[in-house]
Amino acid sequence: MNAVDFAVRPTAAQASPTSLPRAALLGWPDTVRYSGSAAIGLTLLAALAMLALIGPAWWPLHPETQDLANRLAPPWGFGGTAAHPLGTDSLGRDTLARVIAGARVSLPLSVAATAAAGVVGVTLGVLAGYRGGWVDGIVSWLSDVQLAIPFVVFAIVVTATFGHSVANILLTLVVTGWVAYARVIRLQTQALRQAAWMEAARAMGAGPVRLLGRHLLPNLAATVAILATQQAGAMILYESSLSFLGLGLGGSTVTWGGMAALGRDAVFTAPWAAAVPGAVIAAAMLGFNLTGDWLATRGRR
Amino acid sequence: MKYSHDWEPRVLAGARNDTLREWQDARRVMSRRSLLGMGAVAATGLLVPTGLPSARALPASQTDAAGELTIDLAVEPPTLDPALVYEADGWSVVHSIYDAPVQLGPGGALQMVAAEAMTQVDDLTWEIRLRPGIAFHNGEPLESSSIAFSVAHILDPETASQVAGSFGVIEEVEEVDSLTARLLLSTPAPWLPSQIAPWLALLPPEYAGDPANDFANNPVGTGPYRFVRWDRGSQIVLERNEQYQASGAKGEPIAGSVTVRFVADGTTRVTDIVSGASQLVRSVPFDQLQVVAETADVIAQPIAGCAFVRIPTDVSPFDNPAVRLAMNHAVDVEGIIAALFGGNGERLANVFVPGGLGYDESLAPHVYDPELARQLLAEAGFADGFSTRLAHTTSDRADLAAAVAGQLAAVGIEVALEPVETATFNATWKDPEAAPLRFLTWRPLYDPFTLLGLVISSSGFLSRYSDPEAQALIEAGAAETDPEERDRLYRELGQVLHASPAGIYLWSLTSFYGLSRDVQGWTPRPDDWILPLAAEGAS
Repeated sequence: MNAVDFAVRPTAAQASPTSLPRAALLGWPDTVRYSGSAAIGLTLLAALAMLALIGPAWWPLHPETQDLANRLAPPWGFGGTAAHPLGTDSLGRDTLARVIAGARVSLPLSVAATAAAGVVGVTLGVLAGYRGGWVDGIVSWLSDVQLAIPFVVFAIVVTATFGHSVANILLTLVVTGWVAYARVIRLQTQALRQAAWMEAARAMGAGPVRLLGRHLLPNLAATVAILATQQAGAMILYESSLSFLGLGLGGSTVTWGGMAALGRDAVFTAPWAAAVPGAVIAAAMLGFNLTGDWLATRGRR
Repeated sequence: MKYSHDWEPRVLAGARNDTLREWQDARRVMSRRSLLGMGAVAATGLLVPTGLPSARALPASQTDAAGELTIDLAVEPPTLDPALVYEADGWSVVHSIYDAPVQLGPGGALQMVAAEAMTQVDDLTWEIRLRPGIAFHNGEPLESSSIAFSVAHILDPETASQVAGSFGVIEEVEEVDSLTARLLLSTPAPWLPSQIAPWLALLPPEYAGDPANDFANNPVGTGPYRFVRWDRGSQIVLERNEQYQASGAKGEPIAGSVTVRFVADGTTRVTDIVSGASQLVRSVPFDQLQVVAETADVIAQPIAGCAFVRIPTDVSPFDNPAVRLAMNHAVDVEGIIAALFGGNGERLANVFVPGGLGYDESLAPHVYDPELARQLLAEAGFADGFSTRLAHTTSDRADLAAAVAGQLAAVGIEVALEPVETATFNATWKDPEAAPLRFLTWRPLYDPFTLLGLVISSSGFLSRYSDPEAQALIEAGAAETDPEERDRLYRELGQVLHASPAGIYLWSLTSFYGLSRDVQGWTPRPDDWILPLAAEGAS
């Protein structure tokens, strides 16, 4: 086993098994108020979520409507007009409308991939950590194998074999993402399994279901929440990278990565065509990561 | 036949780029400088700082006949076996090393290269007389046995050449004397020169006949450059053939040493020419022409080729000609030419192009009329439109396919774009599971025989189109030996293909090359091959 990552947290959990999880989830308003980065992170996420939810109703332009005569118009404030506040792309399509359409793809996809990877990773991690033995051997081996496969190579294989679809990109992201959960949760489960209060519960006759459901999982909840927020940011980047490389959802689905790829050709003459989607990707990642960091900091206290 | 088409390349240097400015005028472009806040240039103004001497203060690589030249192409050929190369970048390398007996020029004009003469003795006999005194790079003399050997190589089933079918018309190669050979045909084949020019590169029988030499990877030809080495995945190095006897039509070498690099990404090619790492680059992305024009010349070369979106007729709803017509009316081809090619190129009525056989100036292309398109779709029973898929290769410009798809969407045809690797693309032409629509460019089309035979004919190797009337004309055109009559048959075929479309006919091609101002005399070609040669009549 590679002892590189996250070895600190299970130890902390062992030291104060009951105070860790709940504390991280309590008292959000106060901590947000006192943490500038948390405020920024949560604001960014809320803004993007709003954009995805009510964007199409609020901004009337259609993301696919072309206006070739008005291609690569600069954003408002850089020589552009308020008709296209973020400018237009190389086919004259409104960038704001496309950012909104992209949010409606990228955000749910990343959240779904994070959740699915989380379910797979936590399940395998708990099994490996709790059961040990050959189960642990298999899970550890699987995660080593997975870490040895370059992400892009795997994505190329999936796309070449199964084509472009939401299911396939989700598969790629889940297969890439589960390891992070499994490794951390496995370590933490191993630590918690030997904790005195788990021993006590076992001594009082609790069965495996009660042990896992009532005692173990609640104690893992904070870790999972922290991991999930950080993973969601990574998923945004992975999904964008796939779309940028043409391995994502295909040319006709609007994605932030696809927008950046299309804008790249004009990067010297109309840098905004690539910079705007790039900035949106950065904002989403920043939002998730700041939130995740803040949760992690809370967890350690 | 008269071809009034203007083949002159347009050279757009940074210091005199009024034309470039004109192309960009339709767009609201802003200079990098004003974006950076300097604000000196008006938002709709011009990008290129004209006449700045510093623009040329790059590492000068003086290219002369003895100098070094680095060329960026886009696609690396899988092999240098001339029988297995089918696209312009591969031909650019193959025909730097090899000579064919002849090449074609605009209008299908037969131009001599290694041959002194190529004549049609009768309907079933072509005679090729080679120029005396030519030697292969390894010293082997060029004799008529090379013609027989090269034909046999293409026909060999083990070679698995896609053009074995068309060369199959050659029943026998008769060696009349050491320099003269006669091709004896089974049926009249007036189109034979269009096959010989790209594919019948003259091989050295003794050297290529020995499998140990692996001539596909270590080619030896009679061409202007000899092969030095191939760093797979990166570059091919060539050096000047000092013994080369230049023909006026093909031209003479302009450099002592040539490095051909394969750079798939357009922005990287631009970086190469701007930094001076390369002196000649293919396919400058349209939005980066200005960047190149700051330090080098941009050349807009009309190409005898066409772009179209293949529509199959073997599957619903495309089996209905009205649907295919509606799709032609749905796309604003002129708008795309203006916005995405700077007005270079023209809308085509079918697959025949200016400068090629069968082009009919009097046949008007379909007009852009989305209302008519919707009406045709409604009459065909698709008032609510339908969904389909469109494949294009990842080396094509993604914006072109997206522009076409977006305009089809505007009349209710939802098109999912599928960018695929070139190899996958070429393996799935007839695959019923693959996207039915595919974005194609085809060049050269001096003689449309290859395109018609492969992509349009119902028996074609790559075809999913079938129309009895068109089929009869394709076959008649392939067998007609009188050029005037053949042109007439193809014009008639053009009308059939116009009325019962085999695709969404788009534009005639234009290539944008970037050329260092240090390079003298390079001649761009209307067939889009990039050969490091200066042809007769070039400045």
